[in-house]
Amino acid sequence: MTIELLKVENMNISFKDDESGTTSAVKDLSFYINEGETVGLVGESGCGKSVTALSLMRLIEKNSSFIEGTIELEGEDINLFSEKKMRSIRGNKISMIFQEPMTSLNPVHKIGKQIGEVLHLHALANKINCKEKTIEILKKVGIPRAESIVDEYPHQLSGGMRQRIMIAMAMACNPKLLIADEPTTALDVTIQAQILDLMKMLQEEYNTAILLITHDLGVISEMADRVIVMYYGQIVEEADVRTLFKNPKHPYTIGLLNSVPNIDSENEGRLIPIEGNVPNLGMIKSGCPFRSRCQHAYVKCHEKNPPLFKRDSQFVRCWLYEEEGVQA
Amino acid sequence: MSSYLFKRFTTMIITIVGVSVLVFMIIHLIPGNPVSHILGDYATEESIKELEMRLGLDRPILVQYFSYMFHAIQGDLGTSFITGYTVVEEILNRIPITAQLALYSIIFGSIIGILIGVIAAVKKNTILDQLAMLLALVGISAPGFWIALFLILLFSYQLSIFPISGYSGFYSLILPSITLGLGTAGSIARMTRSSMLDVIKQDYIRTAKAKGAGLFRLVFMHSLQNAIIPVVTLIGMQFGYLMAGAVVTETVFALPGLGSLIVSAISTRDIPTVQGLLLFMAAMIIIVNFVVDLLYTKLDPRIQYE
Ligand SMILES: Nc1ncnc2c1ncn2[C@@H]1O[C@H](COP(=O)(O)OP(=O)(O)O)[C@@H](O)[C@H]1O
Ligand SMILES: [Mg+2]
Repeated sequence: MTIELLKVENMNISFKDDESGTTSAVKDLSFYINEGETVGLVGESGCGKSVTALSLMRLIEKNSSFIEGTIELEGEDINLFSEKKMRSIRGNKISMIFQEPMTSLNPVHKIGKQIGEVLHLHALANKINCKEKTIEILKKVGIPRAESIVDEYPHQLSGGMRQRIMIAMAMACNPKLLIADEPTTALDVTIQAQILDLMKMLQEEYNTAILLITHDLGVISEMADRVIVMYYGQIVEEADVRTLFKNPKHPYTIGLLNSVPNIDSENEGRLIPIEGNVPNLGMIKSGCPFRSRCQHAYVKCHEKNPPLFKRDSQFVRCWLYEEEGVQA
Repeated sequence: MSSYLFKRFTTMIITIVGVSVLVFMIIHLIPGNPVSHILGDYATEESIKELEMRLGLDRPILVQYFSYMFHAIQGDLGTSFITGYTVVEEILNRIPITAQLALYSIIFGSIIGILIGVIAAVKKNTILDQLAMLLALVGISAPGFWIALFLILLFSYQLSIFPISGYSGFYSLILPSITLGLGTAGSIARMTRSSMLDVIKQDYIRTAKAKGAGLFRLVFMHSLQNAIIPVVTLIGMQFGYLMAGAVVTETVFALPGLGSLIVSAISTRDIPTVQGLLLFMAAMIIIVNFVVDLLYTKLDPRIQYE
C-alpha cells in the first residue's frame, strides 16, 4: 500500500528583483512523494531544482522571496507553519544534504557536536547519552572508527567521509523525507557509488522517502522510482523511471537522454548535447520556454505555454502530445 | 616547540631589537641637550661636561647603545635623571593603572564592538544597521581627548556619578576605559559585521538551519564562533593603539599610569625614562600579538602549529 507523504500543489516561488517587481523562479509546481519512495528531480543547472528543494524546508531567504501554494506533509500544510513550528520539522521530519560536503560542515565544531546538535534540537538525546547515540548513528552509516571521529574536526576528513557525516546527521532523527541536492556531484565516481548505496541501504532500513536532485541521469536510473524533469522552473515531464528511460516524450527529456552515454541509444553511442542554455529568469514572456532549443517548435509553441498532458501515468508539457493525452 | 612557533618567536625577538635601535636613535637624535635642561639656564660649561660624563652621555653612541642593551637584558633600564628612582621601579609603580585601563577598555571595546557588529550584520541594511555603523564611525574617528572631555562634562560635572580626575580605585577607571575603548569598539564592530556577513552566507550555516537551529543558535553558536577569528587579530592589534591612547587618556584624567609618565618624562628630557618606557611598551605590544597568534589554535582547529 502506498501512503502519500508529501504533496505539493501549485507551488510558485519568486524572488524580489532589483526594481520593485518579482521574478518567478518556479511556476505552478505540483508533485507528490510517497512514503519510502525515491523521486528524482532532474534538469540542467538553473532549472530551479535547488530553489524547489530549499523551499520545501523554507530555507530560502524569506526577506527576498515568496513561496506560494500548499506543501502538505502528512496532510498538514507546512507552508502555513510558523517559523518555530517549521524549525521542529527541519532536520527531524524533513532533512537535507547538499552538494558541497567540503563546506557544509561547521569548521570549528567537532563532528560529534554537530551530529549531537540535531539530536539535542529535536530532544532525541540528553547530555548524558548524546555521545553514545552519536557514535551509534555513525556506526549505522558505516563510518569506521566512529569512537574517535566524534572528536575530530571536518577538515581532518575526506569529502566522501564528510558527505557520510552529512548523511548521518540527516538521518539522525529518522526523517520521513530526505532531500538530497546533488549529493554526489562533487565526489569521485567510486565514492559516488558508495554514497548512493548508503542512501539506498538507509532508505530500506527506515522507509525514508528521498527526493533526489541531480543532473546526472545515470544516478537517476540507478536510484529513482519516479522522475520529474524540470525546465525553466516548470515540470516538463513526469513518469516512472522505466517509462521515462524507455519512452521519453518531451523533446527536452529526449535531449537530456541523448546527451549522456547510454548503451541502447539509437545514436550508436554518439552524444548529442542540447544546443543553447536555460534562459535566465524573466526572459520568457510567453510561449513554451524550451521552444528556442527545440527542433519541433511550431507556431503554437511561440504563442502559448503548453499545459501538462497526461497519458497513463506519464505527464508531459508539450504541444506535440495535445492529441494523445488529456490535459492534466 | 614547533618550527612555526620558533620562527614566530625569533621574529618577535628581532622586532624587539629593531625597535630598541629605533627608540635609541630617535632619542639621541632629537635636538635639545638633556643635561643643560637638567641644570637649568645658568649652568656653566664645566658643570655640563661633568654631568654628561657622570651620565655616560659623552661616550660614542654605539657604545652607549650596547651598554644600554647589555643592562636592559638583565632588567636594568637605567635610573631616572629627575626622580632618582630606577626606570624599572617607575614602570612597576605605574603599570597597575595602565594595565587595568588597557584590560578594561579591551573588554569594554570587545563586548560592545562585537555586540554592535553582530546586531548590524543580523539586521543588515536596516535602520539599526545604519545606526550601528554610524556609531562605530563616531567611535573610531572622535579624538580621545574630545570623548574624555565630553564624558567628564556629562557624567562627572553634570551628573556627578564619577570622579573628574585622579585615581581612586576601579571607579575612577570607568570613564577612562570607556574613552579608550570606544575607538576599539568601533573598529571591532566594523570587523565583526563584515566577518559575520561573510560567515552567514556559508554553506554550513545553511546546514545548521536545515537541522532546525533557531536564530540565536545560528548567530552565536555557528556564525560568531567562525566570524570571531579575524576579530581576535584585530583585538590584538588594538593593544598598540590602546597604549598610544593611554597617553592622552591618562593625561586628561590625571591618572598616574605609564602614559602620563611618558608625557612628563618627555617634557623634562628624562632620557632613561622615555627610552625605557618606549622599549617596554613596544615589547608589550609585540608580545601581546604573539600571544594572540597562539590563541588562534584554540579558536580555529584548522590552524595547527606543528
Ligand atoms: N536567492 C536568489 N535570488 C534570485 N534568484 C535566485 C536565487 N536563488 C536562485 N535563483 C535563480 O533561480 C533559478 C534556479 O536556480 P537553482 O534552483 O539554483 O537551479 P538548479 O538547482 O536547478 O541548478 C536560477 O535562475 C537562479 O539564478
Ligand atoms: Mg542546484
